Amino acid sequence: MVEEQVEMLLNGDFAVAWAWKHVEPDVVAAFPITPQTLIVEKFAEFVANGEVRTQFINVESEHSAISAMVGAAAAGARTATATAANGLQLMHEILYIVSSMRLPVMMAVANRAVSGPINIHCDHTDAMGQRDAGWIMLFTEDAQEAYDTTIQAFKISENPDVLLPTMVCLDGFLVSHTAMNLKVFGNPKIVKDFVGEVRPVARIKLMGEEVELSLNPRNKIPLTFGPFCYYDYYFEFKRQQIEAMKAVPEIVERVNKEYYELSGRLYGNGRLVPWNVDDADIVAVVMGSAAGTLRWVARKYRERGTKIGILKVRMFRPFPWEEVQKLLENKEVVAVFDRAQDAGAMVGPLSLEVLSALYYSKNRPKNTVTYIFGLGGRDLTPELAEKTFEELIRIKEGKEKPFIKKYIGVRE
Amino acid sequence: MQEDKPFEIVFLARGGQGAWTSSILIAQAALRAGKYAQSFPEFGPERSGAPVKAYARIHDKPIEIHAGITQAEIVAVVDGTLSHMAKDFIRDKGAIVINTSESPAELKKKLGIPESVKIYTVDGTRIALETLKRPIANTAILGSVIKVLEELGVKYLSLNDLIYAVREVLGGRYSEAIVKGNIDAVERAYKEVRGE
Repeated sequence: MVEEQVEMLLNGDFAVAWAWKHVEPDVVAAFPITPQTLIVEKFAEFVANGEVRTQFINVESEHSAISAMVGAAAAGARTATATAANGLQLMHEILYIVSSMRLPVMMAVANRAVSGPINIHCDHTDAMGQRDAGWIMLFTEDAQEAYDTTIQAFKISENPDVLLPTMVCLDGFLVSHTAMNLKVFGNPKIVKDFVGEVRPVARIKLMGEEVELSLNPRNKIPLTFGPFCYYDYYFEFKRQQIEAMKAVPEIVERVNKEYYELSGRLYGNGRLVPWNVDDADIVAVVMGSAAGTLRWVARKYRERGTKIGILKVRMFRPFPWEEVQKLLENKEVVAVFDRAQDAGAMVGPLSLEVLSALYYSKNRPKNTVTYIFGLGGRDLTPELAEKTFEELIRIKEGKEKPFIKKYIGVRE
Repeated sequence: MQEDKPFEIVFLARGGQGAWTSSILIAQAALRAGKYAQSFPEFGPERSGAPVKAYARIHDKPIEIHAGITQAEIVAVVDGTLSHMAKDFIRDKGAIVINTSESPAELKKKLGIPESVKIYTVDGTRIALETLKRPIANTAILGSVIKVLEELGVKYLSLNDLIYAVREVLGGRYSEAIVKGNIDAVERAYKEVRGE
């Protein structure tokens, strides 16, 4: 049953703060950095007003913020933080510790270019620098999806078969500071019932006793988190962590579906959101807010009979490569739109994933190209999108040679 | 509106004059009117006194575009000293609304605005000084924008929707006297705006 919701005008940052308000994590620690600042400010206001019971820890850096998450989550608390760009880079070391200690931390990232030169605007380079840190990574398109995905992230991470942290990415300014009409649950209890009143802490068998997988002083056997580990067991630890990732795709789908039943909003199968991909000759693969702009432009082409489809990648980690491979089978032209730096690499990070998947396809698309766009907040305007679509149509018609990658919207 | 696209408004102001608030208020008014809206500031650090922009989109269906606005149907100039920038953001057949004591005809000539673009002026700063005792004309300019929407035949939102939004948004931040002053500014600018 779809629950009662309230329509509000909120930007992406406020949407995340409202999602936190409704989930009411036990502990939030965060350090402000543009374009994430509004999340922290708004949530601090909720705390100061007594609207939530969350312990809000003011920390002196992002390194401390994520370290506080480690301690709190290891103690069994439901935890959330948020950052962007250089703040995320400063967390880098601890991100691996969070995932390897199997701590279900929720983190919002307002995607921003990484210095230098200093830039506060959107691209995905900050998140892409963390893509091997063992986190689940979900990318959102607008403020509504940021609210919905933030709530879902707690439920995904805290699932006992997963126990991995989730990063919810929202494009800096394009989502973080862009207000839109969106719906939030009128009754926070709906959200609490959905994620669970308190974090479900996994229980494990140890030396004949059942203990809570946390630093719980009531445990009959005390546990150690994050110990030293030689070559004798490190590899096994890592192997288990990789295995845990395998459970994620199904849980993401299930949570997306359960959430749909409450909210009426569905994001594809949770992993991928295809728009007119099945019958398309040309498919654009993209993440974040640019998916909306591309879809809007593609609608006009569809009206004229040009079969363009948009494949929005919502879950970047774990990367749903088998599904991507299947969806792109036999296409005439596939264009991957990558909003991240690719210095020294063959193509951008999203495209590397797509190309790897396609390598093993028996029915590879005829042409696959990559566009690097939008670095440091350079706009992907509808006009620019149209120009690239025209190029893709010429490639399909054999009037233009395909290429490996191109940079669009930049002075060469 | 011949095309099926969102109606777009650009606000030009200086940091501290409330351009972002203007775009939030118009979006909130559109939401009240049952429309879809998008509001965002110029993407960047706001410096007090420096030229800044804010944007709003309104449509009767969900808005998918996520990009800045380069060619708006309405450019609202909150600070008259920035009126020379308006023509860079206006579409053909659009309308420019300027906070100034000058007449629309003289300004149109002075700024070299093309014939196909309509120009409106309102002395928003004087109105703000009289209603708010402060030279902050961001709500006054919005009253004029509503009038211009009516003249363009755009029925997305009404003066009442805007007044509701002012109450809703500013009511949470300021005293009743300030909210009332802003509503007075909206209503006066709605009446006093002049076209060519």
